[in-house]
Amino acid sequence: MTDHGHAGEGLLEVEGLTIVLRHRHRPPATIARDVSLRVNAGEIVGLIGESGSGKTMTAKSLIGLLPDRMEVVSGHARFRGRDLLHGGDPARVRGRDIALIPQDALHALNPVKTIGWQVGEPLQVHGGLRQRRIATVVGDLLERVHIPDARRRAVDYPHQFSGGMQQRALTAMALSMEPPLILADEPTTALDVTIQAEIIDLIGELRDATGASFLFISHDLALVSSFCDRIYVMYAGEIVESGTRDAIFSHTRHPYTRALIGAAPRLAGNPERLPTIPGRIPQPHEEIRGCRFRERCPEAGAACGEAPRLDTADGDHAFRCWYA
Amino acid sequence: MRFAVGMPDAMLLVARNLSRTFRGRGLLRRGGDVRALRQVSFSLAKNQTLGIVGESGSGKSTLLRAILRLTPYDSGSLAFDGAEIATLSGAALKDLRRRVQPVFQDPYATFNPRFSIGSSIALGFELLGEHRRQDIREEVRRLLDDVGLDPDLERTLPHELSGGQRQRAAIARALAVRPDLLLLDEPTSALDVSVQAQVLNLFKDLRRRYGFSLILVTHDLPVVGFMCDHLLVMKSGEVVERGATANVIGNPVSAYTRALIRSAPEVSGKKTQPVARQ
Repeated sequence: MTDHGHAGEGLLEVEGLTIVLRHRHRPPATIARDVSLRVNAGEIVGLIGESGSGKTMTAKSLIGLLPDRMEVVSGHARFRGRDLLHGGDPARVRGRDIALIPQDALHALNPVKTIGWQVGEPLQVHGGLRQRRIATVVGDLLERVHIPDARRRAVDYPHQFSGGMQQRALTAMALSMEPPLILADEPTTALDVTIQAEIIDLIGELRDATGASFLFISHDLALVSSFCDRIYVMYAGEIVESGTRDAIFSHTRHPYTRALIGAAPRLAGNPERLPTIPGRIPQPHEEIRGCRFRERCPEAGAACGEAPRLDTADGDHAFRCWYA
Repeated sequence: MRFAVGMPDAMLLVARNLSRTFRGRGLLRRGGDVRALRQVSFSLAKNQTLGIVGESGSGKSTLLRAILRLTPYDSGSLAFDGAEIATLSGAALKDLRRRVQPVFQDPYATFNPRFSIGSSIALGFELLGEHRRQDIREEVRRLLDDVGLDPDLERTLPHELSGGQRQRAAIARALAVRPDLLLLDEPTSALDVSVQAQVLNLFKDLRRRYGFSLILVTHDLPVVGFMCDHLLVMKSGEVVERGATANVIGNPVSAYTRALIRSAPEVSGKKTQPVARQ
């Protein structure tokens, strides 16, 4: 496997990314606003947020998979210094440089093609390998993601695989071109907890074996806290806090992150009532003056009428709050 | 097991050696027989909360369906308030249908898309024999308020509500018939963490006010840790462990329960220990 390290700078650098959704009868809605994030070589980075926070669209914009009426209106995204948003052909990047493991395994797989054919498709499209060589590589890939009896099962169809095995097959497909960066969009949401733990193990193992980086997108704070190196927390289209796992969970600065952590039940020692966040997440088309969390924030003060910038004074631990 | 209300006659639901086998189907019977429930025994006292955890295929859905009498069982006994569920008929069966109410993971699938939320909830009152429209309407509005929804939402259609609102409406509909037992099947797994916290708190508040017992089926152990006094762990149709939630989580006896606890992610800055591959 090639060395994915790129000295001195991140593998993926996103700066000030803003995505809008165009409406025919309404002004455009902002889906993601001024998003900056970085993934270094060999890192597993978590991007967490509740539904509608913009996390999935942020990831999809990087590989040219935004829905029709959405577009990037400002900002930069660079992969190994190369521009991803302007002028490049996303189809050449997808699979080879950056691969996606989608959320719903059964719907992501073609029901009338064998697992082996689908895992090998990127090799055919990008690699121009001979059929026999592809079959060998596919067998290796399925073995790498621990599908038992991999070579024989390559001729099975998706419905013959369990949910966990389908997710493994999709992971094998993402790995096929040995991409340095893999975007994993809630890859374990539909799985049982012990199967989920196995997939998480697998991601860590693949990172160690291949040096690939992962951007792991999830709404599950607890899950992300269990294995990601660094974490970005998104709220209503903005990154509100980012830092190492330890910084986010043990030295939390942003009131939203704190509220999210408090709202998650524990195995033991729970309070009589879970602390909740009043109100609801603002919709993308709602114009909000000042901090987007202000109306729901227990710590809001006079300064919050003006939108806070991402405070990066604390090195790698950044937060978007006047009072943090 | 002894509980706070410890008298035998205070038992609301008692299962003894409950078994159910699904016969293999098709020409070749490729699947073979599936033993969905094997000698399952447990009891639930009045006013108690029981969590049932287990993976897909553990038999928890078959168990829920048996309690609702949506599926029969082959052997053993399942008694609700002293009466064997399988033998109920006529008025007694109708009474069971009222006293046991389910709330599912995706309430959207259980609402008639062309009925307003208010009319769906009103059906419950009609079932109870209430026919005066004005009285029903007032009750519906009061219930919506009880579950934390704006009473004016009675006019909206299911698709107009958010996921959290829809789950609240489903809870209101279940409560309309004054059930003694609520069966919750993954009630918050489709919800965001902050909305989940609101709905879980709501169950606690409503239990205090309405005094129903509760069975919560989930794969999410921390949710059981918050909600339930007792816990039943199932695997491949069998009960592998049961007891007070704090005891089971604090001192799990079976290897399977230990694996479940290890793989349950909990919010912390610490790396959790991954489960060994089997």
